[in-house]
Amino acid sequence: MKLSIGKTATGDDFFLRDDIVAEIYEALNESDSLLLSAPRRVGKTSIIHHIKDNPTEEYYCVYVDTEDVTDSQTFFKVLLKAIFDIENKSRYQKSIEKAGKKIKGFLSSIDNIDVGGFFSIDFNEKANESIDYYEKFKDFLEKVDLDNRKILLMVDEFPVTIEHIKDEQGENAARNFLKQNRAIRQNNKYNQKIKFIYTGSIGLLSVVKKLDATADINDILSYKLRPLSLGEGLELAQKLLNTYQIQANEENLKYLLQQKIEWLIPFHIQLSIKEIRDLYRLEAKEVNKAFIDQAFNELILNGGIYLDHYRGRLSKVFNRNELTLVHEILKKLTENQSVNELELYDLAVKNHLESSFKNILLTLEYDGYIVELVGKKWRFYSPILKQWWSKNV
Amino acid sequence: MSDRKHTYLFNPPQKDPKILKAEFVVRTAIFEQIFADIQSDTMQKPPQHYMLLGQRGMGKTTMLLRLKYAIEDDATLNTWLLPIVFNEEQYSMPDLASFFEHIAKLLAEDHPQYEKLLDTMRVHEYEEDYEQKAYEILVACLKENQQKIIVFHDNFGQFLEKIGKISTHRLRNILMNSSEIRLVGASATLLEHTSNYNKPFYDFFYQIRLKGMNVDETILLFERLAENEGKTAIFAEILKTERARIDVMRKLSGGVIRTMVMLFDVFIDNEKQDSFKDLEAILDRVTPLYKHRMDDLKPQQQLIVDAVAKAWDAVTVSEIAEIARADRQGLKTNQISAQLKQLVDNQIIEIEPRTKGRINLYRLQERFFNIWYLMRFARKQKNRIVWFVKFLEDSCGKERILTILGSFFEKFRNGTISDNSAYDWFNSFLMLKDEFLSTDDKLLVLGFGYMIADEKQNEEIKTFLKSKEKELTSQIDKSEESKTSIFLEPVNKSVATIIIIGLILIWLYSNNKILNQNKQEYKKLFEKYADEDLINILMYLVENKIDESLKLFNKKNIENNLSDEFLQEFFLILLSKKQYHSAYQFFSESSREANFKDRLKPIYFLTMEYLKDEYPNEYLKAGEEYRETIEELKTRVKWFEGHLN
Repeated sequence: MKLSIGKTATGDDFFLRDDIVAEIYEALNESDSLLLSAPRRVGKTSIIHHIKDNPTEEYYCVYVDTEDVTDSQTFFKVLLKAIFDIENKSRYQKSIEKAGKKIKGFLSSIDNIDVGGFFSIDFNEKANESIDYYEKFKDFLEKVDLDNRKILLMVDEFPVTIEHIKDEQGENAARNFLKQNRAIRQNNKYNQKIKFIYTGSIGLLSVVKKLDATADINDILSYKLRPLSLGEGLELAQKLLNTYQIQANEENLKYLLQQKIEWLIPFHIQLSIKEIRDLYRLEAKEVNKAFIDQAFNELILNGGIYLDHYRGRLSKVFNRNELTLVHEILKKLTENQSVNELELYDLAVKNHLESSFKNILLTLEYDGYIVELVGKKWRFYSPILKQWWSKNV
Repeated sequence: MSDRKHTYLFNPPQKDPKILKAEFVVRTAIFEQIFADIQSDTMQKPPQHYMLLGQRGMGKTTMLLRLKYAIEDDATLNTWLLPIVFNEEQYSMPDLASFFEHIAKLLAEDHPQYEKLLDTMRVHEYEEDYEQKAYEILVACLKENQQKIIVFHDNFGQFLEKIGKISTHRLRNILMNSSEIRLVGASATLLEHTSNYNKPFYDFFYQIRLKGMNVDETILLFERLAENEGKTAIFAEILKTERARIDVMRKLSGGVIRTMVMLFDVFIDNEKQDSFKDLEAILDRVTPLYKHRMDDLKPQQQLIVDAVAKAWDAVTVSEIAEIARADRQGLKTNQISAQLKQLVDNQIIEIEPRTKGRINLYRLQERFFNIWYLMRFARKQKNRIVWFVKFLEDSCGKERILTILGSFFEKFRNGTISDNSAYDWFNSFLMLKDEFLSTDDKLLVLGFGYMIADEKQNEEIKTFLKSKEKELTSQIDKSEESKTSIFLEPVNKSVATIIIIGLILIWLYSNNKILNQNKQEYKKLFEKYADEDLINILMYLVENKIDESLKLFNKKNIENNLSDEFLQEFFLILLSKKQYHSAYQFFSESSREANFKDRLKPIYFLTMEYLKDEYPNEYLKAGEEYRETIEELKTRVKWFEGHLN
């Protein structure tokens, strides 16, 4: 298993969490669509890639990243395109053959398709404007015969798409877009054939709240991706270290995970191991606590500049009163692994900021300072930021 | 430095790949790490993307090229992986579509199978989603040829700024999901895009910071440069004694490779050329590099950098406001702080790390950049050479400055340094802070310079030096003026001072090979000003040949009536050599005619003070009126001690 820094971890580089995958499938049985939510770099995309690459009998899995989509038409076009993507083609082959004329008819109605033994779809025609891709999408669902299987359509960065549509086309367009999607999900005919997994690092709920349209997503079941357990973290760290022929005993790795990283999301483990490896390459000595301290300090030193940004940005976002509260909250979080929201609320009362408290937390979450854990607890998002904060602020 | 060599410094892509590979001796670990990843990954899945961060001149472009050449040289890789290099100056890249078009162009240049790619793309040029289409056509073409590309992008930060939010998301989407493209980017500025949680590329890249070189790397680099220029032996020789100097220069340049390569010339040729001129030439040549750096800044930031550069030493925000006359520009201190933050982020300015308390001190991070700035923008004649003074102070300790001084005199005397340049040199020495050259030292510089100018019969420089002396002495206590005036015509009351000057200079620079060899030559220079025996008396003393000196002194003392000035210098040096009893003997045994005790009362009391253990009461006899003079003399003895040992 090689390091994956920022890229989607796939294949051998992906640290499989069987239980999570099972839970996702389980949740899909309970609901027609799922929101896989987690802060950035927790591993959402890697997990849905794993699902895509290892489909069960029940589903045709399709992955699409819509972060660069700015209007509803393009969104559905992109979904269709992904469904007919060449790499997915073989998976449909059987059912398409069975589907016979129905599919053929559908495909011919989209411009310039070539239905040979196989089919391909040419979306490159200029006649785009005459096609209503939303209608086409529904049309496709209407007509396609999937042999009792379902399409599992995984839409990555869905909340970003909504924001873009809002920014580019206006709030009404964004609301309308949400309704279109809901209509598809809620249609009894269609939902026999398709299920959705939406993912997004920025909160879908907060984006939709701004549009006053929470009702349009209340059918989506939310699944919160949890961090790794200590056991999993140890296994991941060990696997990565093995790849680079670095020995470290469990006690020291526990020290790294529990004392340094604390919140075990794969990215932070990857980053720490990278630093350990780089340091080890400079000087191959025993990876003990001192060594880990050194590597972690290096991580903080390297981040020095952008970490300072995190401090500076606060004063742009919050007014003077709020800033005092924010600093108190963050200070409290540096002193603890995680803190109950009620305790933080107490700080808000002290500063007479009860009414804006929730907003402040959400803003901090949105900007990557803190994350909410199960049980209404909060903690620093990044262990690096946390350590830096406690030393420098 | 040849012009060609200079061109390559700024345009590594023009450098012969063979030479680039041969010279690639630092940062090899980073290269190997990335290349190993490229070699082992056949890109069946979207690959790891990299981002190199570092100031201009840190070796980003060279690293990208080294990777490119390594791929081209690898028989397995070069069949399927095609390197595409985007140069640093890719201004014509306003959007993502041009990015793909440019890839198509570059592919066509080297590979006939991609000849029609650009035309195929351009069919869709005016369609709304041309960006996306261009990308898809590129990918289709690559797949058809069963090839993939690795894009080396030298200015990724600026590129992202240009293409805007949606296209940034599109590019991320592509890089995240495409198995056809690997990106190795480089950027001189901190990428807000990768460090801001809300930006698409947050923590997306495997970031590698190219830091300044350390000492070992610098030496490795210099060794290779020396080898290339056939100067291995010279460098090895220098390295023996001047390792510390390399480190000083490294710190001065922040370890920036490009600057260090340029400084290498000054470093290795220092003994032969006029380093003032050399450095001036080098600073001229770094102009594109640094001008770029200034031009990249917003107007308010330029104002701030200007103020910080002029201040040279670290300054506070309010001092910056003062220097920049910020109020007149409508610039408030909180705005200055905000701009400073960005400048710190972009590694232009640094916060003095040792500052305590809440008030930060700021200075330009790269000292060499500051020197350049002073040279380029100091308009006032007086400030014309400030940059050189700063260079000397920052790159040299006191020891080194004295050596440079010696070397300067040698070059001045044999004509290596032109008269024109000599003015600058003298001015530079005079502007050095006291801790590098004391006022006394500076007077010696003037004196010695005067003698050489006199020998060369250069009246202009003589006049110049006289005026400088006047300037200098007017700054110090008037009462000392007579003592320190050294330019009255030869054979007068300050002859002795002049002799001392000569001797001390010889002594000071006796560890300077050239000057040491020419000691006798210089002695001749002084003979115009004084009797050879008198010179010898002092010279022996300086050389610790006390016996010979005293013998000669006795002889001259009987023959001549020695001047008070000469006697004073003689005794002071004698005392500085801790020859208290010899001095005492002269005082107690001197003839009625000579009458040292009366003529040199303060020195006599000073001698007795040194001998107070033996003669506890004698020195106490000195009247209050002598106290101040004695203290001054004591300082001078200390000065001699410091200089003569």
